Amino acid sequence: MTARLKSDIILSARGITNRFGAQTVHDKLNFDVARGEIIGIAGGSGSGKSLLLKTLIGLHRSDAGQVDILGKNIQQLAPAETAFLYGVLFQEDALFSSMSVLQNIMLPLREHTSLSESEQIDIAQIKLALAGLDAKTGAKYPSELSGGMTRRASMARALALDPLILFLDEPTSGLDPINAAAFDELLIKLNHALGVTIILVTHDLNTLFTICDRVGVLTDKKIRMDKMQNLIKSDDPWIKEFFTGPRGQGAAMAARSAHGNG
Amino acid sequence: MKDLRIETHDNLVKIAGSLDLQHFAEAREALQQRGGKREIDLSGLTHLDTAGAWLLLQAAGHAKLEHLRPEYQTLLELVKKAAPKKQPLPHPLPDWMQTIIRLGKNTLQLWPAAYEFIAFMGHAIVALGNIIRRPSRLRLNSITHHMEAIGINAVFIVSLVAMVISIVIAYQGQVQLKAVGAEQYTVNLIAVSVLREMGVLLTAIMIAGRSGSAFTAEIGTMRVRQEVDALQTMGFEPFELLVVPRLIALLLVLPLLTVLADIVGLFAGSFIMHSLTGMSIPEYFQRVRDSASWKDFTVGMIKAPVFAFVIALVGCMHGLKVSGSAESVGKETTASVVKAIFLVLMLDGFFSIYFQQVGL
Repeated sequence: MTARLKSDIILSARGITNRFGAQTVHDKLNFDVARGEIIGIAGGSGSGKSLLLKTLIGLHRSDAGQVDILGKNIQQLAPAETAFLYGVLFQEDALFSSMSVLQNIMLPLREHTSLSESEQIDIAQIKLALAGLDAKTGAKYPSELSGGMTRRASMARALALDPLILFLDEPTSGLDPINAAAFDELLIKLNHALGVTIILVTHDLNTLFTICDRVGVLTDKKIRMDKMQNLIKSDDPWIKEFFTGPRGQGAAMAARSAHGNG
Repeated sequence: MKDLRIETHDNLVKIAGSLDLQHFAEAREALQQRGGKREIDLSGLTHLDTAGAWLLLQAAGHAKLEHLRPEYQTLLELVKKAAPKKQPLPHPLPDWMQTIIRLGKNTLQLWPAAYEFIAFMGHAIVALGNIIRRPSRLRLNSITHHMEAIGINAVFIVSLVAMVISIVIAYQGQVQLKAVGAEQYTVNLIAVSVLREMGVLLTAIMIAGRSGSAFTAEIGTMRVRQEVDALQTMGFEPFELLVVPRLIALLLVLPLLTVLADIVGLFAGSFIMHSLTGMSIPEYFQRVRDSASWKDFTVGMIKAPVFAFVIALVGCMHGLKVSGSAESVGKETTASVVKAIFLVLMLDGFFSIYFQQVGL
């Protein structure tokens, strides 16, 4: 059983340390992510959530420690390799504004595969539909989309190469509650159907309670990663406040009733 | 990554390993060449992604999929729902026709653009009038800041351009006039062309490129970051706060820079004439006084504030036109520089005709 588990570890972070000058943000963080998990990373403002995400995807080189995906150090992977390993949904969506949505999705396909133009279009349209957008949206430009649609378009682009891991930075921020809930559902659907591992940074308590298998909380330069029911019982004052404060309780209740109905 | 293995048996194609985007070309080939085989066995499949599922779905139109693992079944159904409906895309028009259509559309845009500029000009004049009635609303800090950015920081480049253009005129004129033995008249050429045309025109073009573009980019970025909206909600008039100080600063600075360009141009001419023909510097300036008059200087100076007005307005107008995206900042900046230089040159043409008619 342990042997099987070990082989199923898709990402492992060892001794991640990040500093800004004299100030330490992360102090020797260790954690593993198994294939197919949905991991939430939470923490207060300024706790280095986004920095951790940047470290995990190799955009930021940590001061110490290393991140392995499928046993390979991400700092040593070629760009073309990383493109197939993970897709990223950025906080500001980062769709290229000079291209239509479909062209945005086709860009990695054009660069990294030998598909013909019409095949690229077909695959891109599948990704659009998977992200819950209709075919007409493909012809539009990012500036013509609403916030929720932009997020989904960006999601479709992150999925373009069918990556093993999907990283999301605050996926539900700026969305109305209905759209945010729909986006959570989309994540679960993709996780089930594609088997994609999802690592998301968020402080949306509803997302943390409803869809995450495990949650990593950044407090006091460390990360505490565990199942939600264990985290709630934590003694750490910040974690306690975060999950059992008025908003946390509301989200927990909503999650319970959702599970009850489903 | 794991490999893709495809074996062909009697009436059966066996696919094993990973059927995914990275093995897409291989898999497509094999599935196309399978001929009349009616069954696809998938018991050895270890990895399937959306691209692979889509290939299978296309093949499944006339084949049976066997031994598909249940988790792949979900994926297959999902992709089936998402697969693009095969409807022919609307046939795009030929390129030449699109060019003509674009030309027509852009032509139709000319009138609204002219109307917009005139309206903006009216707005600017009203705002200037308001300031004159209530001078306390003048933002001196902002004006001096812009005067420094537009004026003092441009002294070097404006001088350099004035010097270079003077040298070019002197060289070309001297060669041509020497042939008819009228070498000394090169001085007339330099004096009149620098004072009437080149001094002010090149300074205006430099400033349009340097500061007109900066106006657009600054105001445009403020629009992208919703700073202009913020000003409005706090009860400021963006026009008064953003456009008027830039306009006044440029109205004050461009004439000054023109004087500088005139002086530098004439002095550069004196050196170049000395080195080309051995003419002494006092003699050169005596000839300048004989050939050019205050009238020539005035003609240049009348144009300076007009050019300043146009450059400032075009720059600010395009800045305020920026909408949302970062891309539009770039687009508007280009438009602003092109339009400002074009208008400056066109106005210069009108001025030439007008001054000719009134005998200036």
